[in-house]
Amino acid sequence: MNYLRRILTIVGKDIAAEIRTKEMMNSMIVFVLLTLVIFNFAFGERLEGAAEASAGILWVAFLFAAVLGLNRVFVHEKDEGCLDGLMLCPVDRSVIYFGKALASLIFISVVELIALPIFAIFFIRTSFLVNLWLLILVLILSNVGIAAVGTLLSAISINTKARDLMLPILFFPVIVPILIAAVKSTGLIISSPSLPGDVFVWLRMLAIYDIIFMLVGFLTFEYVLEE
Amino acid sequence: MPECAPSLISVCGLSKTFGRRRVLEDIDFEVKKGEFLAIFGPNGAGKTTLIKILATLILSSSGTVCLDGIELKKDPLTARERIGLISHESLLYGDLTAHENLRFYGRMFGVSNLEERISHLLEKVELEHRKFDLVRTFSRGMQQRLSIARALLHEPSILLLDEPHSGLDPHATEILDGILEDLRKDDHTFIMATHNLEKGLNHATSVLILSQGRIVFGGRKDALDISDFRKTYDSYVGGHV
Amino acid sequence: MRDWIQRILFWLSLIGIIVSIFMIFFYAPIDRNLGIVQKIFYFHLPVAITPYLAFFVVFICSIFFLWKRERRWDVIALASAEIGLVIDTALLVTGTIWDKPTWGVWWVWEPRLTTSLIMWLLYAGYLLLRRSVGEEARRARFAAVYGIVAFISVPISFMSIRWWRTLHPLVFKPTGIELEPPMVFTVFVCLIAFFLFYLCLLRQRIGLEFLREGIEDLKDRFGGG
Repeated sequence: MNYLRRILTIVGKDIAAEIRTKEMMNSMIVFVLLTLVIFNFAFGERLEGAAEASAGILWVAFLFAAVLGLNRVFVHEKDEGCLDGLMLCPVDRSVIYFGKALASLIFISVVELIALPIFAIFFIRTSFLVNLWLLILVLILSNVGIAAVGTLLSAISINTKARDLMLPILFFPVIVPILIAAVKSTGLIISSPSLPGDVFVWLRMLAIYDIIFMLVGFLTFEYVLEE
Repeated sequence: MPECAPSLISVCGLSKTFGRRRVLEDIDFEVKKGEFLAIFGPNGAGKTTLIKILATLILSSSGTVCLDGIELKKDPLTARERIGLISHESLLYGDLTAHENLRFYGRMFGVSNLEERISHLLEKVELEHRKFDLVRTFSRGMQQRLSIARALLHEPSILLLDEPHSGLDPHATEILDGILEDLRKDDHTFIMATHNLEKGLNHATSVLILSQGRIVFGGRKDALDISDFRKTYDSYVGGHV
Repeated sequence: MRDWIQRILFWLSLIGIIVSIFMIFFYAPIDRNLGIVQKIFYFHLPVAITPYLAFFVVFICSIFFLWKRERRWDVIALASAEIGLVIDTALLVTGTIWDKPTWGVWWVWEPRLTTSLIMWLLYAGYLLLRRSVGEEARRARFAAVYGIVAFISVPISFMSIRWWRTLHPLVFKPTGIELEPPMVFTVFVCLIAFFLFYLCLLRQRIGLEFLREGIEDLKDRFGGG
């Protein structure tokens, strides 16, 4: 119980700091919008009604925005040695991992929920509200994987010379299964009001990915922190 | 594995290597309850690494460290509850207020009657009037004072200090020294790494000189000829500064 | 020095590869359906398998490094990652050459080839990460963690790419080529030869890394820049 409480304490601290500065969320939201607009110019009318292509655009925008946010996850922990402060607390290192991952999960999800209606206005011509709950499930499952992998790799990249450049290089090839599954299932969900069974294959895929990489993060995070 | 000695802090055969680089080699010392050990040494001697190992921030490569009968590597979580660290970095979040910072750390340590403890400590470091201000608006000295409050939140019995006086204004130095004196009377145990000979000797009951990762001098302060000690210290620091 | 092991490995892999080439062209019969083109299969298969082997070695050494904290595991991981990346590059090149006559285009997003590409990107990232961390102990830790993450993601990527591209049939289905016993034997010899070649390169690279470190040590000791 204490384990969970300490995780939530870290999440609370991150949210309080973010609400005050809004630096991460604001740039992520503007970035998602920019990406959507740029894709619209790049592809034009070819996107009208092409559900799967627009799902691809949506997820590319989300993933780039996620990287932007994930790059910032440990920035404030590095100023004034706050990470040392966290490591001095009598908690397992995995508490820090889950706390930071849960905070990034929340930030990424909020940005996506704000961007989703705008995406719908821009690109969707049919009604996709029928299976909105399923779409939200896809978002959450994908974000869990993104946060699990991203938090671990962000802790690595912040300590490299290349810093911000390193994270996308490490992150994108690992996240390929999430991208494929998210694009496929989002495409299926927004293109037809009936529920195609294939969606569940992809959802299962996302769930397996999430579990595996949360476990990997849980087991390896202490080695990233500890010298 | 050697048994833990009766002293409060005992370090046996401690070494640390970073890759091929040896930072600490075969460090042995003991500190009894209520003592104040000052570790002197030039920059790059391994003082910060030693303090960080004692604070469980860095793992030693070999050797044992026992704090209050707890072996550091076996039970770091319990050990951390007895350790307070004051370093030259404040370990505080600039985007949170002084109160939020202390509340965060207090919750992480599971401190009971936290609010009382926070106001008591803020009073002690003379920051109660800035309680709800963002830490990033604080001066260096104020941040450092708040950092002292942070380190004392969970009432640690062992205080580790890494260059605590660096960058402090006279007022903050005065407050820090005052608090250290108070805690001395309360039977706290201290290890301070510093290259400030005056400050170190002022508080210390015993001294160590670290040079290139080895202990090159150690002794009790009352058995020390201060001017001789200065010469010894200068001979090790001379070539490095 | 245990130089003789290296020598034995070198000669064994050289002889192995010469024997393999001889067997491919003079021992194994020409495939009835595919003709002479099928001969590339004997080298393509080991080239396709070796990166997996090499990256598996990175994975295992990464785990051992984090567990034992002994530097040699890090050195083996580095060596194996570099060799794996080189052979993976060869695989991608031969793969595109193979695609052209088979599909009429240079590249198809076929699961195995695509996975090899993702793998290439993963381990290129792994080596870039190593270059981007100056401090040696930290470099080894980070590389080990990424070595684990990367390898675990490979099978998941393969599965998702396969589901994504179910339209394209696999080039070599289990029943695609009817392997006659001499063919199977030849494949076996080729695999052994390639495995020895990998070991030879691995040992060479490890030796090189220790030499490089020896030079660094000397530099440190004598203060050279």
